Amino acid sequence: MSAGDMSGALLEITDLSLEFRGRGGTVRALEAVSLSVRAGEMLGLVGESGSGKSVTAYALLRIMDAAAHVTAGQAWFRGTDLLGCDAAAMRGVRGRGIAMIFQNPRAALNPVVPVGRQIMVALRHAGVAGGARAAALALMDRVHIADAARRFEALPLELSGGLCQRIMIALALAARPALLIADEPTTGLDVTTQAVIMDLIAETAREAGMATLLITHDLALAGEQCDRIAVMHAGHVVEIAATAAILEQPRHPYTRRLLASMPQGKMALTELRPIPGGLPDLRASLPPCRYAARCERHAADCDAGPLPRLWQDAHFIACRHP
Amino acid sequence: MTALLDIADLRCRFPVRGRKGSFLHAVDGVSFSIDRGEAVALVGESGCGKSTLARLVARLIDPDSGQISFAGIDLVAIPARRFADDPARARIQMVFQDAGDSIDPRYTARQAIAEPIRGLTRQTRAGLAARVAEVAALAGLPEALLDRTAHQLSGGQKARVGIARALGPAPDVLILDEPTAALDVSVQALVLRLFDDLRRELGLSLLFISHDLGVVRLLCARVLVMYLGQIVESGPAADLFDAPRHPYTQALVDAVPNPARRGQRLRITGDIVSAIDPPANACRFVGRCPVAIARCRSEAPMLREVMPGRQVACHL
Amino acid sequence: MSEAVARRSPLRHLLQENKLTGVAVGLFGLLVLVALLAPSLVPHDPLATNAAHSVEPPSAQFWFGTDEVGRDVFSRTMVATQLDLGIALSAVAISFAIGSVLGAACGFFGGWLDRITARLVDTLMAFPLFLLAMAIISVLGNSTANVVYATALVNLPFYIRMARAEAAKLRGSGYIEAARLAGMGPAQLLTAHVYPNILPPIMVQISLNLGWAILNAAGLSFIGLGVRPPVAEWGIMVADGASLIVSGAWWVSLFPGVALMLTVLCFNLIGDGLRDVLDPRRVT
Repeated sequence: MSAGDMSGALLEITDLSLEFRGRGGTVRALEAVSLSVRAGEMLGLVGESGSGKSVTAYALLRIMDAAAHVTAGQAWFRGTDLLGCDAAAMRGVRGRGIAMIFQNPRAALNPVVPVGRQIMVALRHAGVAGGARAAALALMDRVHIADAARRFEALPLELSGGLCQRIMIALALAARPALLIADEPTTGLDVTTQAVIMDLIAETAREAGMATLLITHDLALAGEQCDRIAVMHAGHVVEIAATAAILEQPRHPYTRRLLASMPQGKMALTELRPIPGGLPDLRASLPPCRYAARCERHAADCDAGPLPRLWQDAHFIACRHP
Repeated sequence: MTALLDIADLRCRFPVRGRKGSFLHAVDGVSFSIDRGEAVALVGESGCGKSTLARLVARLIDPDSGQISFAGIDLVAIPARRFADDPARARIQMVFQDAGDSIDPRYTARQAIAEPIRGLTRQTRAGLAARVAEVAALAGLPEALLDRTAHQLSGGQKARVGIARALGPAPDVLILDEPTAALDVSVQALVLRLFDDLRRELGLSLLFISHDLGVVRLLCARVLVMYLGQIVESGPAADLFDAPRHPYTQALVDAVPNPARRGQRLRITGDIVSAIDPPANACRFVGRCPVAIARCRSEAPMLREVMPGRQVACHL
Repeated sequence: MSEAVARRSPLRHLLQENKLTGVAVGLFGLLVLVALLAPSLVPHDPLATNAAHSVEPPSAQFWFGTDEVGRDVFSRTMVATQLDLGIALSAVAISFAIGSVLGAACGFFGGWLDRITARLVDTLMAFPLFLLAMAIISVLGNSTANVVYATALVNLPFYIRMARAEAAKLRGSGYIEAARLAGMGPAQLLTAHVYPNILPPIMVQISLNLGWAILNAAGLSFIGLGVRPPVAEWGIMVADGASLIVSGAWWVSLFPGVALMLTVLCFNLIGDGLRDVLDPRRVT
């Protein structure tokens, strides 16, 4: 289920469904998620907490909790079946084909190993044998770490959040991946640092011809940086389109309400329209459209048949009454 | 009309462990005032001292020097460890950034909200229950949730418990320490609206501490920009964002993601400098400032009024 | 993710997840029952000597056999349950009561109290604890009460340190600040917020500590510095039977030894189970 011009898709996810099975019940975290990332583009995956955006990324790289089970769907990356291949093939993909950077960089780094050596480990995994140290320093330069030689021996807790994130980016770049997944890379950093790190990610992606999947809850951030945006709600992808289309002509009611609830420009407080209700309980039995309960365009037939998922001129929408 | 809360030349520094004679200047000569019913924002990034300033104004810690004057009462005269017994305690309350951490994990919402009411006001059993119900309603917290514990509540619900609790003793000033930082965008909007309603209906004064300019602009009439313990710019919110005078303010404004402006922006380089032993004779922003001139390194700029209501500490 | 699961009864949760813990709790129940009922139900008087039946192997009349002076090993083993459990529970209760309160105050307030207590704790811990217990008994004299006091004292630093560490962790918590904003003074903070919140991890240690306390008491009795004969106590009984093992009379030491082992095992398993309840990610 994809638009006609998805040839050249680097990553193709089709109808991915995933659930968490545990004592409290089964959480249907993802349902029929389909999206693709083209070579060299930056796709923003936007959603609130609980929307399933991070779960999607973790599922791709098979770094999920033991309680997670993929119940349907496929994910193809450069001819490799990510969900079905064996462990050895997966190790080949991780870091080399697809790299990932996380929120809270300091927590994602080994606290007792100097950061420069961590980069060297990543380089060796990527197959760089001799001269790993020089290559590591070169990477640190590439991510604009001033005074790299001195910072090489530093431990993560001696570095600021922004610096740690730069180290993470250097680690991710070590094997020259074709796709970078950035899971909320700037959340938790200072505002001015956020801006600088986002610029760095965009710059290195451009230079390396790398595609980027930017996972964020900040639609404005995605709007500023990404070529296309996919919006998720409660485990469903509800809309995918070029950034300008999403921001100026959103078709899904949730996307429209999301835009209206974000502070933008010279908006006054009274113009801010919050979205009523809350996320549905993903353990309960759910109607075909999971936004229906909060949707102002809800009609009786929304709960009847399956959720229509359509592509129209490179604009995807999952709604019966957009 | 005299301001409700008047802060004058407040200073607070902490000794640095292991380095004798070295001090971290968390708050270094801050002055401002808040009127009744006014919402003032304190904006800055990590390390600028805004959390310390919040705790100084809330009288949880003591300043080294300076004045905090509330409705004519000199608050500095009462040491922080005795302030809990003072009648003024009820009049300044705080909403915390991490709502979950600020509620005792064993307490239900009802118990958490009741605690300050019980501790600071005289109420009968019935009066207490009524007041809890009243502030819970004000904060938009449904009655049914009152008997849940913190881990059974969502982020937005926990935030409302924190707000209801702060409203209990009927304060005049509410210090909001990044109250929406941990919340989803849609919940954030609701909480901001709530603060504005409370401000107008109850005549509350708000000191809103945040690093998020987009949010601050919506709620607050005046903004103070803080950097390394000092206020570098202050003025009406709209003016500050449309025409910032200090390079740091400009950088903060530019850092807010704005899809409409994918081009030229002021980006500050380098890392945040620490507030330990800052130079006395230079601008503290000089290492990161893209438009620094020679004078910036030899003379610390003073906060001066460039227009009525607008102050800037910059040589340019 | 925004909805939360209602809490199940911790006990039911505990027993369902961990069958072994369930068995241990059952065993503990059995021990308490034996401790309470044994004195009235045992077939023979535990103190009655009977020279005619000296060192007899287990038989229909004497289920666990007899010891050197003809006393019924079974009756003595059962009756000793009350004494050993009693010693362990009292000693741990005293240690815990004093140690946790003192430790919490030290951890939360710091200052001179903390400094003085730290020196005291360091002094106590400089000695091998069993030797310290021995020294105390030799000074105060053999008696059940002294065994309790010695065990309690020797255990004290452990609770002080634990409580202190937990309380210090809580010092910067948001809810402590919020309670100060609510007008609470230092003593109120300690009783209402700090102490109740440090209890869960200490509870786990209490259970493990009980096993150690029993071994301590039995060990002291084994070397003659504990309870005095002819009182029935597992440690003394093992000591009495030790010299007889060589000549083939295994039953005099074995049964009290097994009783000791089962009791300690029971406490340790309960402690592990409690730990699982408090931190489900650390299932042992």
